[in-house]
Amino acid sequence: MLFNSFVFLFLFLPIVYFGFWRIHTKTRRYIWLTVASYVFYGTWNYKFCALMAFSTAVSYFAGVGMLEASDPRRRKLFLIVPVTVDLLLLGFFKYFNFTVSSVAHLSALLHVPMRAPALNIILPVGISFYTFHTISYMVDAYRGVITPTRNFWEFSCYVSLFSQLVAGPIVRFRQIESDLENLDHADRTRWLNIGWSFFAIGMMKKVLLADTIAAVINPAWKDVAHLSTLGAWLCVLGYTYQIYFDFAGYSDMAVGLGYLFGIRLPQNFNSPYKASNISDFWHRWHMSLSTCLRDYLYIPLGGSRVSSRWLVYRNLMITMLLGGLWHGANWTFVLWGGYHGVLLCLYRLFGSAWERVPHLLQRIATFLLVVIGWVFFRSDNFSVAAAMLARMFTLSSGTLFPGLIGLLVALFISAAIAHFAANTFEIRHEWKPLTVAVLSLGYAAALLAIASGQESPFLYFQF
Amino acid sequence: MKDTVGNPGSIWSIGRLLPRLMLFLFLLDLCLRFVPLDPLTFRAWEAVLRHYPNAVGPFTPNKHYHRAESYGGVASIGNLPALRHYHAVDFTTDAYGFHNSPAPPQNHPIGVVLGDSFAVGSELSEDQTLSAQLTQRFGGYFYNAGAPQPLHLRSLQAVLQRLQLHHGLVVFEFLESRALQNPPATTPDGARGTFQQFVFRALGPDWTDRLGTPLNELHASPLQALSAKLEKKIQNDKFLPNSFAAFVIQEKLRNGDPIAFLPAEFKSPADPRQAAAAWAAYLAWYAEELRKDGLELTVLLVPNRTTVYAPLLAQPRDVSASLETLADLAGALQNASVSTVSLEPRFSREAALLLDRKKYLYFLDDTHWNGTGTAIAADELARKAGDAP
Repeated sequence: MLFNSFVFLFLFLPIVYFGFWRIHTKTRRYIWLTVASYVFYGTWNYKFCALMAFSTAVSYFAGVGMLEASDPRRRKLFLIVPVTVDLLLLGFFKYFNFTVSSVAHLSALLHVPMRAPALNIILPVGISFYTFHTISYMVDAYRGVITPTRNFWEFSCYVSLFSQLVAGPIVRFRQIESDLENLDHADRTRWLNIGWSFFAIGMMKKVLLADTIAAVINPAWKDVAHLSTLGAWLCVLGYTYQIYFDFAGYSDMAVGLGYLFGIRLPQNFNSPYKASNISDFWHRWHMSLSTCLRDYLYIPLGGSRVSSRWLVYRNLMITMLLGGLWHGANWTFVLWGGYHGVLLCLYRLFGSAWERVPHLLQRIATFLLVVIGWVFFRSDNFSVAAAMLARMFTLSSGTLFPGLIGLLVALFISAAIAHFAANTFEIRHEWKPLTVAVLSLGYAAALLAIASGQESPFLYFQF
Repeated sequence: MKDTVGNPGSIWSIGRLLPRLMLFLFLLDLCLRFVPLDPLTFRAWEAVLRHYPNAVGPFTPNKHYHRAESYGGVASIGNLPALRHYHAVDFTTDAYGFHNSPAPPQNHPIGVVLGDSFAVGSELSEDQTLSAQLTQRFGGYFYNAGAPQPLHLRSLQAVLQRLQLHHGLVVFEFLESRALQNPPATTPDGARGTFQQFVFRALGPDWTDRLGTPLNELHASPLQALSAKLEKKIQNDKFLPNSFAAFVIQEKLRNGDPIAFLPAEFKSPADPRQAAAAWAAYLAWYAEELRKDGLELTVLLVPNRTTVYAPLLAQPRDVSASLETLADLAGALQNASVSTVSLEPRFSREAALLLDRKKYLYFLDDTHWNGTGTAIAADELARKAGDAP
């Protein structure tokens, strides 16, 4: 079930919303949201509900175990065992075939024959996201950052909350703990406006901008070899804005939905294309992931507080390579992560020189570096990425593509919003009637676009 | 950012306006479903088709649909205005919901045509359908009982009862691509579900029609049709690329005329012999059941459009799999003693002859046959009847 589908908007959401506000006790609200979230999740593949329930139960009991264990070694056991279970599940479903095929490929290169037992594994939607929820919960509980909850339904509500279940933001328990604790005192009208405002803006970003751009550039990405230089740049620029408005749109909708149920989800995007350096970009892009990677990987590796500069670079590279791999079982994602790792290392090395460059140039250069990175991210394999880069950086005559007018209009609007407008967390959402009317028209247009019948999943669902 | 924003009580607050907008659109959509779909359609099929499973006739009863500029479904699916071949269509349905003249001849019919949209004559006016052509050639009235799927025996028997047809000819139009599907069960209700069987038997055909009609109205959404139309307008390869074009295969005939196919038209069964045997068994059973009622069944094997025109393309395509399927079907039916007329040889010959005159047996922008096709089919059936001992 997609947020941008009729069944969600006109059936699921009204039932869950009115049901939620008819219930007044905290635990019943947890149960209601949990059941709703499992229904939401089960519409993709009901069998994977059991997997999520298992992961939830393991993490919950680990948290309770940590509460009761006084022996540090037992506490550590309550961390290591469930985290290992979660990572094994993630590894099996997401990376098993990838690992097997990579090993087979390597063995073929080394002329060592090997039979690769590829399995027919379906990747459960959102597994990367809810696994991060459970792991962050257990690590935070172990570190004493949070007190694990004894209320199973509160925890299952946190893990499975439908608004952020399949594509984030990756919410840490401490970020919504107080809202969950006070769920019985939530005020329906308090965040109604801001919730709908977030939701409508997110919907418009996704349906009117990201999907319009996708309609033009997706066919072009299938035929990279025949693109002209201009066509190649338009294609990559298109993807740059498509992925931003697709994912930021989803995040806005998730935040809006959270508000409608009295739960404030954290910000996931802070105008990333306004970044003035690559480090700044990673403070603004998919913030919930980058802070998780920082807190649960980079800092435990030693972060920047290590004896040697080279160790900092090593930590950065490991973090970014694994961050890339988190996005999907494909070497192109690893390359994308590695590319950003190198950029971050270079920035650490030449940061002071970079700061002397005029601010506008910093922003343009950062944006261009990010755009080039998206080539690796979007390409299905290295040869497509290489072909696209070759088209971009050599003077190639070739075809443009149909739908150029639509693309240019969408790019113009997208660029204006991404580079110059305030983001959804910066605006006050205190709309004047005229603005409300314009927003409503945009929202109605998005609904009409959805009504035409072609469902468009969010890009980050695949991760 | 402040936690509490705006005045949630004001009608101009977004938190109040957007849910109301959604409610308004929902109610609008619901109401529009009771408004005829005709103005939004480009052909009769979508405007008249009923969508509940127990109706005997597949279409809204006693309805007349007229469109001066109708065109083919393949051109519509591919959103290809340049490929459209406009033609006027008048499509009327009788009291039972079949594509017949509303005022049938006074005398009892001498035969019935059943089958799928080819038998219906989905792009044809009543005077061009197969049943109309047969009426002209046999000198007696043939009733058109064509439906999206050929009628199961019990539904056909209900029609025959209403027509008071106790002996005569039943023509079963069988399109080549039907061999891709498994035949229904050899029971009067075919593959109908248990609940459907129960409803159909308990209420009878009249009441299932009456009760189903209001539910049918809810099926089609004019709002959705309108937004799909808008989307197709925008996807004109200038403002947005035409994503629908990928759903069709565009080709050129030897004479230079463009023709569009659906990929499904090129498909053949993986095991034609097995498919032929299964269908022959079903049709033999069907013929036997009809024989008990004094009716004779003749199966009319209709080739796919691709089987006839793929060899006539500027770059011809191989149709040996299709020819094998049709030959296997004809052979299996003959072995099962089911009277059969295979149109492929005559159609292929006529199509080649007519090509230079830019005349066709099928529409170039639709999967179905045209009036020329039905006329030749009726000739072949008449010839077969004349040859009969």
